[in-house]
Amino acid sequence: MNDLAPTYDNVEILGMIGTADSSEIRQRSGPVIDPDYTRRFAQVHEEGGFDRVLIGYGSNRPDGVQVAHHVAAVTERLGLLIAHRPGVVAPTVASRTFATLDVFTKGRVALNIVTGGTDKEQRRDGDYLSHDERYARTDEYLQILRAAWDTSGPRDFHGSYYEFEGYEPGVHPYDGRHLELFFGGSSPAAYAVGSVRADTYMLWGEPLAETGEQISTVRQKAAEAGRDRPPRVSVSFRPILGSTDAAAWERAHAILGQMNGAAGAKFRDSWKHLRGGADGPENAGSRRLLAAAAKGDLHDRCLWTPTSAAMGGGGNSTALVGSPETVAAAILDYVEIGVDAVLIRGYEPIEDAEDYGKNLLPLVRQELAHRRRTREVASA
Amino acid sequence: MTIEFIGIAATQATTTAEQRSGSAGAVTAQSEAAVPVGPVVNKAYAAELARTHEAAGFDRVLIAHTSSMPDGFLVADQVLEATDRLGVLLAHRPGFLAPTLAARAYATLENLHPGRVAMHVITGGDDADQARDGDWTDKPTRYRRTDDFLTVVRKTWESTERFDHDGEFYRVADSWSSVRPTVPIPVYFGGASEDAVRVGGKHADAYAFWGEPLEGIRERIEQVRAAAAPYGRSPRFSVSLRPIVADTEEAAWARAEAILEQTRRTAGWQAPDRRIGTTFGEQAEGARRLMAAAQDKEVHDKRLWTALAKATGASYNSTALVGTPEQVAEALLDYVDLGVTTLLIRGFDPLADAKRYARVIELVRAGAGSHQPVAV
Repeated sequence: MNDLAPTYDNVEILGMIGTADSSEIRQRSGPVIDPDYTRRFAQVHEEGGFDRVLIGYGSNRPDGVQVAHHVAAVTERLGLLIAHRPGVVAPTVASRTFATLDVFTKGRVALNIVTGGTDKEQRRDGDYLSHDERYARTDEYLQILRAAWDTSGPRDFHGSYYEFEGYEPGVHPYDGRHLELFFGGSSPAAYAVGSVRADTYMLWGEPLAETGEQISTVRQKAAEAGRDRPPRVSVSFRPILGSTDAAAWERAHAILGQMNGAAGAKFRDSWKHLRGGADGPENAGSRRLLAAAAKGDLHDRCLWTPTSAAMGGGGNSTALVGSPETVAAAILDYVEIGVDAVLIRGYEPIEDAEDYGKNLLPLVRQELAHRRRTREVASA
Repeated sequence: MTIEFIGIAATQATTTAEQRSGSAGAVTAQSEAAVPVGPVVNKAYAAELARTHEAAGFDRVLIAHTSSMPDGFLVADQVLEATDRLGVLLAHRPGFLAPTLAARAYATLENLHPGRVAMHVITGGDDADQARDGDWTDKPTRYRRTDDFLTVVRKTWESTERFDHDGEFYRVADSWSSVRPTVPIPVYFGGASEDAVRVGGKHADAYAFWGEPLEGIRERIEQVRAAAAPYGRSPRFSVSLRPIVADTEEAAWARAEAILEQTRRTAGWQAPDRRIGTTFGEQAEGARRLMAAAQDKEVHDKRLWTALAKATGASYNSTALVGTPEQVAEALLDYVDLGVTTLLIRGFDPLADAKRYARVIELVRAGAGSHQPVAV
């Protein structure tokens, strides 16, 4: 049996939270930070059985570290995956920030390292490095974080982007644990860094074939770098559920209509900077999503790409459409090709998270358990 | 007039040397005369210390910053969650976070705890501690950077439209934050050099001094007012002191001597770059002024005691007012008479001293009602 065959029992299900009720089809009406909404949003994920929630980063958004700290106080075990951009914080400071958060939350923290998407978005936070230089900086940044968390005593660092002397962190991750690094990026520069430094490699939801290609690339780069085991892989989707497949498709078309209409106007506008010039978006991930969308609307079992095309390939934007049974089967298709985690979030944020928890996650877990047992029996 | 009292937050418990006689080891960041006990991040202790300050009548607690300490934003959130009305004065060193991100982080904290957040900008610091976090600039450069930093922070807090900034240190394009403070976040500022006063005059809502003798504070207030006037600003003034109170004056002086003795015994002042001093470090000029006062006299004015400052290098908030609560309150009111409206007081035994200060705070507030500040 292939060493990297799906293990079924370690598959994680991730969600995502924000601080206000908003999505591609929902314009926020209340304050940017609605503490009650934020709490409820996190609690719905915990009650629904999600393993972690992603907290995003944007140059105009509330600080994710504090959002994570806030929701940790009102949940018991939910993992907190905090998107973080190197380049806006000194790595030593960041190492203390996340170690402190990990201690206060008793070991619930992980980072999603987002090196950057577009030059324009980076410049809003004052970062003027080029794409490839940003990844070279991330490479140094992640070495510094890893060492600050895992080792004690004073240390120096003399790199191209960072230089310090005598740094001695006074706080380490909770109970000596390994603080995990998730990582996103689909360019050659990203593969080169993430395959070496990441614990989990994050991909957006492309068709199975294209996802398989990326997994191969990451595994190959990891092997070349001498890693014993390649990073785990996570894929992100926007499931659109209905009680039947037909009901789900009806809902999917309604959502697409809203996206292209007045409700989606503001969001479409916010992704404008991604679209770039004649060559399309600057970031490889969005270009890949648009390439998939150009091939056809429907892929594999139920992967639907028009929602992504409508947003110019912006972000996690491809949908899995169908009944809970169909979508669960589609998620398992990804597990079969080596995916270890899925990140799912909907267009009606809280309602969808609740729906996933009630109707989708139990099916996914049940099927994972079934396949695990089947394989155990087969190999006994 | 309203007098604001600021105390101190901490995440690690301490025990005084008396309580653990003979124990040596690293000195706590919170007191020269005590040793740390238990984990660096002790949630229950942080909450208890915060609640004790709230109960004693403090308005805020300072959350300090060094290159080895836990993250202040998170400690602040813990403090604010643990209390009902206590505010925080969260120290921040420009140079390690993008100013847009720092502004959003403060605004996020303030949105979660409306009206309870203030920023204390620390620029001078200590060169070695700056280098531990990767900052190699000299002090005059750091003050110019702070100027640029605060300009971007304010734009991020206040601008309702996208903005560009092209400064000596920071450049952003098309920047805008969706999260802004619900009420303005006051900026506290420290530093005694010419560079500090120039930049502080331009940006400070409150200007913080170490506990110099009255005459020194009078001078500094004039200096800062002159620097702030061209910008149409008139900051509040804050003085930091370490009151040592006891039921009788004799007992207070005996305590002061014991604290000095303990400080000499513990290792804290022998490792000057690691002690609390760097937290508030104004370094050269502020330390020079404080040391000059300490060398001049051991006791200034009514009861400003400088022996501890002298013993520890005068590079941080280390001068004490020694006496009964009534006497210490009276001495604090002398500063109020000069125009000081914020008093940062922290002791040597964090929990016990915060409780002891309740009476001092009450007396100062009562007294301030009848005192008239010197006309501006």
